[in-house]
Amino acid sequence: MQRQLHLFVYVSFLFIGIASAQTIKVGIVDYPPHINFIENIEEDKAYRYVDRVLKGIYAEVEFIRYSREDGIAEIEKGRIDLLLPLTLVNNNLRHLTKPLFRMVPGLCFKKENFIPILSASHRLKNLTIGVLPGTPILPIVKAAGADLHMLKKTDSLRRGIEMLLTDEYKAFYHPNPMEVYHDKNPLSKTLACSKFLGYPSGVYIAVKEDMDAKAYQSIDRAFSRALEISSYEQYFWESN
Amino acid sequence: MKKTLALLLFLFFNSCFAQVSNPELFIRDISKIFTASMYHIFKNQTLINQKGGDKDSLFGEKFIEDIKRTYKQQHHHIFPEKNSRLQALLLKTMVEVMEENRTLINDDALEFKGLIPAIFAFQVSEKLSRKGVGIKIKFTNMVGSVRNPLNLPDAWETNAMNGFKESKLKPLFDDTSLMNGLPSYRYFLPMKLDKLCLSCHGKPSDNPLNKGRASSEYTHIDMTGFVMENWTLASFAGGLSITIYKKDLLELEELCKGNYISSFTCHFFSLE
Repeated sequence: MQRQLHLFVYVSFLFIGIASAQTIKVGIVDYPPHINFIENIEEDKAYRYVDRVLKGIYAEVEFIRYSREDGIAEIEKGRIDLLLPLTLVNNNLRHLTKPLFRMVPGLCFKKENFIPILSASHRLKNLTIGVLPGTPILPIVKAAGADLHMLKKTDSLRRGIEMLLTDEYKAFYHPNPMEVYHDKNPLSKTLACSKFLGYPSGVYIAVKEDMDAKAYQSIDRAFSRALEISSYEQYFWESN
Repeated sequence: MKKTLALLLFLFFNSCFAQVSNPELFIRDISKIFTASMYHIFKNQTLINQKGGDKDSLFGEKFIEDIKRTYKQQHHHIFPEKNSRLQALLLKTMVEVMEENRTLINDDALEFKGLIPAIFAFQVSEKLSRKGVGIKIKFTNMVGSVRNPLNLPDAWETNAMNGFKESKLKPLFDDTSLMNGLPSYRYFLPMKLDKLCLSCHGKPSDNPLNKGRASSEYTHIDMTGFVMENWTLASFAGGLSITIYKKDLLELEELCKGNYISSFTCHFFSLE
């Protein structure tokens, strides 16, 4: 752990030499446990990792909190430079080459309906499953004959979970169920989630469309190098 | 300050890229560590699934110590003291996987958590791959005997398993094969079925869910949700397939020459 931290600090030192005098505006969206709006986000691992890499390039890094929808609207209008963490679902946002980290989709259940191993896909047949709008569904779920219900856009996560709790859905499809099923979430007392192992997808840092090529390259290279030396996932687990 | 950090980097580089002189022995060691961890998960199903109780031994250093003990019991020699980079990474990844499952393991409302050896193996292998470590570990078997389609055998594994019918389950090492187009070391360790395996893969009478039921009321579905295979202790159980990219056992200099890592990383690690 010490070694990795030294490496990381050293990377920051290397980048300080080429830091620009400019400020970069970074939109962040709630993404527990990586970014958790309930707590002090300056302590969150994704915040710290991104802050360190960007401070090697920019004199000032300004973080602005958004809901996912507002953040996407802001970056599409070019009012912020970066937006993270983001699964690039149903949008064509420009993004950095490498994902910041990867996540595995899964299902959340009321505990009494829990299916622990989702590769037993025959158990999904006719199961009523709520789905967040814009979430790509794994072919294994469709092939299993699950009864999929796409939620409406507004406040979809909260409504989806409510419908799960009232038994209108037997399961809730989540792009990263571990955001729901963790010790800090009181819902974990009622719900349990399992993952579709073997089907990871990337979580990216989106970039505003009109960012000039030089700035994009500089940020993209900095993140590629940092991820190569000490991946965010390693950083997340080692600093826990 | 910079000099101290550069010195630390140099030491780190030396420890990271220590040469592996005998890849066959090395990959065999990896398989032994892995089977010890699987057996440990197997042995601890009661602890994993029980309500409450002290589950500390499933996490962190205690977990590693227990794996080392299991290793010693299984293989009758002590755990390799001088860990290579990959061995250390493997152990660390196992601890991380258990940590990621902490909420599940401590969830007293669930009777069966599903953290069985095959799932643990899958999670460890997936995590290693997400870290960019060129080591792939999977449980596989002949087509028709694999529960998870993601564990279906490739051509090399099918050939290896066909060969075992004549070779009486002797492990196979191959240093001439490719994986995803990259030169790789491959190893296949055929697994023997243990009595415990039959509670899921055996006959309905082996299924703990059928305990106390009349045979006419037996379920053919095991506790993981799959149809039981009706295997016996004599059945072929497939095996553990391990692939390591050759580049991941190379010295830094060779990695740089072969363009396996970026010129930046080469430069970074060679700073004095």
